Amino acid sequence: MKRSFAIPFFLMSRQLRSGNKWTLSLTIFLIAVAFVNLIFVSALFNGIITGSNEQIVRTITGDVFLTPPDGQETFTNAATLVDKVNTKSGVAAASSEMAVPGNLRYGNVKGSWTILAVKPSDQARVTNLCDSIERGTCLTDDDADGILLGRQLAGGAGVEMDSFSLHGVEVGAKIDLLIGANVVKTFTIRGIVNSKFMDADQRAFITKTGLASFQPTLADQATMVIIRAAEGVSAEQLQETLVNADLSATAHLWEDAAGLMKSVTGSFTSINVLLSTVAVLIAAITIFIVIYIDIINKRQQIGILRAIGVSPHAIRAQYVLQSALYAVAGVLLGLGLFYAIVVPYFQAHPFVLPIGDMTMLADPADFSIRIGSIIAVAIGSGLVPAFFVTRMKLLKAIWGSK
Amino acid sequence: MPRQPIISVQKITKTYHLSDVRVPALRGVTVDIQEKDFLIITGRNGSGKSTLLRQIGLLDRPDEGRITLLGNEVTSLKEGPRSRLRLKHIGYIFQEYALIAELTALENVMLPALMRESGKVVRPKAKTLLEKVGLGKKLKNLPRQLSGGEQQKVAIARALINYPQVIFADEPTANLDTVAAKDVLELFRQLNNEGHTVVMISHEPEEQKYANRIVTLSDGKIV
Repeated sequence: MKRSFAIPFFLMSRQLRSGNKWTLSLTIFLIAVAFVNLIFVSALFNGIITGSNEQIVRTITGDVFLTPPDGQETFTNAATLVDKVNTKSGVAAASSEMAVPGNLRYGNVKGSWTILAVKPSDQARVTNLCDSIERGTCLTDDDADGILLGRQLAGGAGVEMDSFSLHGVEVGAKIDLLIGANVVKTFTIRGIVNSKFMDADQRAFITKTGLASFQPTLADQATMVIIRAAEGVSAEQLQETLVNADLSATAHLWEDAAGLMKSVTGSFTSINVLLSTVAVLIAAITIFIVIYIDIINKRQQIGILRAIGVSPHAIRAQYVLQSALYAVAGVLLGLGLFYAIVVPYFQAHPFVLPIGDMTMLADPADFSIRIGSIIAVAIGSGLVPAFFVTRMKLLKAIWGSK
Repeated sequence: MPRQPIISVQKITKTYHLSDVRVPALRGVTVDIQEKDFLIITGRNGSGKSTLLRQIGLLDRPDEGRITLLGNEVTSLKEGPRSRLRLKHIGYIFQEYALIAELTALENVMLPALMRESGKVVRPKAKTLLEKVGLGKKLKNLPRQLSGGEQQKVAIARALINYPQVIFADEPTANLDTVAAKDVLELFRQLNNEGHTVVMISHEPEEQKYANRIVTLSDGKIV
């Protein structure tokens, strides 16, 4: 039995040494391309799904957010609540937001957008909006007259939703906040934020100090508290901590606010599964054909091996080993091509989507499954034809007839 | 004391089916081959010589009849045991050499023995055999780098590597020039003198002097 394993290694090494190098290279290249095709779709959708989820977390909700308990519209002591939340384990930062009931007007353009009163220093610790300032600056905590606008709200040339915006308002311009028909305050635009996530960029931010200047009773109120989890703490763990923390609040996972994006990413997941299945089939058929043809071309050689007494088991083992080797080489080459060419290219030229600039993201577990499936397909592709050729009548294998 | 037959062939028949046409190749052939025989099977083209050799060389199975090799009834044996018998007791030499193109002369000879022994043990044996057939300086040549006669000598060395009791040779000199053919036949005579049973197909009358027995086939029957 031990010796019958020596023959496959012996034959495989000699065939690789003396076989046609071009054929070998093309076979491995073909497997590599099939593998890149298989992981490209997965990495792309994984990048889009993960990227869009991160956009929601880092621009809107944090990992977990609190809303007032049922029957209550706002938190009444927002600063105290934020301080309390900050003491809980697993919390990196918390920030309260108060939705301001009002409209914005710039010149003749007037509209209703989400206006949030925040403490900018807290907000900067939970979201990355201040890192995404396109023009101007972020707000400071004591800026009572400043307002920060999202790019989609500010509008202008090249802005996707310009029709529903202030049509190109610039930093330094004055815009009015109206409640009902009355102007309650005029703000100066300090900055325009471009997170590249349309939902996030359709909002305006003022400071709590600003809100206090015209609605002092609302200044320490909040409609939502957004919370960032500490390093190594999952959103689910944080949610559990907050649920058990007696905060008189409802703790939600970021996913609960994902809304439309949740169904979009759900669709992406389904498309990913569908395309991956097709890609696995294409890879499987391609690899099967390549290896099948290789083995069928060696039918006479297999017949000779059988005629001189080499066991069918040893012959099959040779082709299984050889196919596995082709697959491993193809996978390594594919990974090389993917990380050396495809990933850098799409990092330099990301896909621009309404949810942000998306690039590819490898999921090691998913990649492992795909690598395993390629190798399994290759082994099957080697085993099946080798099995049939070793079961074929010996003379037919050697001479193709009789 | 009469010698025991090493191979006993009893009333074997074989018919090939070419499309709808039945071509009987062997029609009840019976023959005993004794140990240390040098037997030549002769006859016209299509007389059934190669078919008979393939049946007793375990490359094919007869439709009817029985073959006993070294006391084993082999016609009904499964492929695994037949493969082991071929490996251990039979050396088969094809008319077209049937060498593995990717292997050197030395590796071709080593191959059958690697099923039983390590490369370390087999290599010197294979080297000695190739030296014996006069190819000691062409160990690393691939088959395509050898002449027809040299390739046939490699095939002979390969057939001998497991020191088989029986050597079957299907027209081993058919593709060789006169000098190479004589070399090969002398080699068979030497092997026969060393104790190997040799069963060879030939239709060259001058080759019959090497045999101690001649079996002539005509229309699938021994005449």
